[in-house]
Amino acid sequence: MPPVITVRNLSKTFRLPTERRGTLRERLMKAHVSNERRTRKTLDDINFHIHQGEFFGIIGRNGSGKSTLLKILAGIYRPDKGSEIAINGRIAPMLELGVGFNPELTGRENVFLNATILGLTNREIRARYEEIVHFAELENFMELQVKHYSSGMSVRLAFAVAMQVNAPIMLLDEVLAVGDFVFAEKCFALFERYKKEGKTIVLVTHSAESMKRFADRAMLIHESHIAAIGNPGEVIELYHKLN
Amino acid sequence: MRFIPIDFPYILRLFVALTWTNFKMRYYGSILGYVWTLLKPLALFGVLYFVYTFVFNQKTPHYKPFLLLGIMLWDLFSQATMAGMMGFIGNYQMIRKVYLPRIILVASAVSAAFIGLFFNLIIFALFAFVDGVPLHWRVLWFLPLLIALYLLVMGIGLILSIVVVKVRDMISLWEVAIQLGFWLTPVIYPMSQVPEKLRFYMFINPMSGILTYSRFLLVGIGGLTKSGYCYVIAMSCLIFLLGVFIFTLKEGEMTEDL
Repeated sequence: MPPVITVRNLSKTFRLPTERRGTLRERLMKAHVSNERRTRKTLDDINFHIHQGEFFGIIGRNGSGKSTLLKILAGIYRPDKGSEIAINGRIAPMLELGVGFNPELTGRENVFLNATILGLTNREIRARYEEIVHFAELENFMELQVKHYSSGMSVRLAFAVAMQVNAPIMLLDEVLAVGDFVFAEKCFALFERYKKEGKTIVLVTHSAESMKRFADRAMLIHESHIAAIGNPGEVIELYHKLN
Repeated sequence: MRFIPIDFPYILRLFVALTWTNFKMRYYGSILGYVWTLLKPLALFGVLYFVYTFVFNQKTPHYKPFLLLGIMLWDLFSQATMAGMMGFIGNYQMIRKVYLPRIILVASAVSAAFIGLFFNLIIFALFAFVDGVPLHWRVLWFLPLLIALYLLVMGIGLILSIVVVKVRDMISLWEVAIQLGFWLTPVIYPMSQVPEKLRFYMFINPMSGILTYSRFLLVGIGGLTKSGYCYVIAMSCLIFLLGVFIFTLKEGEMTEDL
């Protein structure tokens, strides 16, 4: 079967100004001082592919570049020139905590907005609304502005929306880090179901346990490079050895 | 690279949803909220009308609808360009977490301000009716002007939304620019009171033409030249295209600088 995600020669370089000059005054006052730009290669020559229906785990320390990788896959950041990415199928991203919720809107309004962004029509959202609220366990809070939500609540809601998008590919970044264990179990049950349905899931996590339990293959990113890719047990062993 | 399929129905749904959201947030989701936002131009209108009629003895016929239309259109210009400017940096939480065609964020912010203008124009129509402004078929020529205004503020909003990522004080600078523009554009006075040799320079600003011609078409004061009318429309389209060009060229880089 052809891979759903193919990544070849992927690099990502960020330009980091030595200091940030965000205002005109700063720019004028320091016009004579050169603001030398350093660059930092957050991802360097990344090559991998993910097959249809695979549960692909990514681990790595903070700052190793795994979140950047997911953002590139989701289309938020542009990779450097020469990188090749081919993706077959729609992606439902669930990056960092809280997804793009607007804090001034109520939970209900955010569900509609977010699901629209992720590609659902109004009719589809209405049909799935109850299920989303139920999964997020927020029946009593949907008319509350999201700014009053706890971080756990907004992540649960964001996750519930992303789960309803029904995209064949899911990108999940640290979703398990916030919910409590009941919610984590719910997510695991859902993962099982999606695996059966043949969905492709890319999960970034620190949890070695859930990685061993679900991942078919795992990838370790260390200092911008792929350090290992393959059997989750072995990859995790290496991860622990490296630190 | 676009991984979420960018098909037209999707773009349209997103545009409508975001415009509606922006609109709701502007007007606090209520009719009363709309009344509050109407208060600002109406209060300004009241004060300026008082000053210009009784203090400066302004004698332009139908000065009431004349002034009100000017203030409403200028208010739209100021609101829409400001909203457009914040369309990108104001949505950074969303931009950094999910891919969506970001130009829609600016477009919907500008469009939400435009919905407000339609309500304002109804109020204006009432004023004009009470003031005895006769209805004329040339009112129809106001529509292309309205579209030009839309494209103009959209273009400016797109350019500003990119500039403001790099230069945050553009927000304050633009506020000053709008304040100066209020006096340097024929908002409260008719073009006919401007010395003749200065008129050409004032008409370079497309807002001058939009205001002057709108007054002629809706209130029947002043005049309209074909070349001027065409200039306003061409200039607005040009600024719009420039805005789209700059935005699409720079949005990727700006996402990382947010």
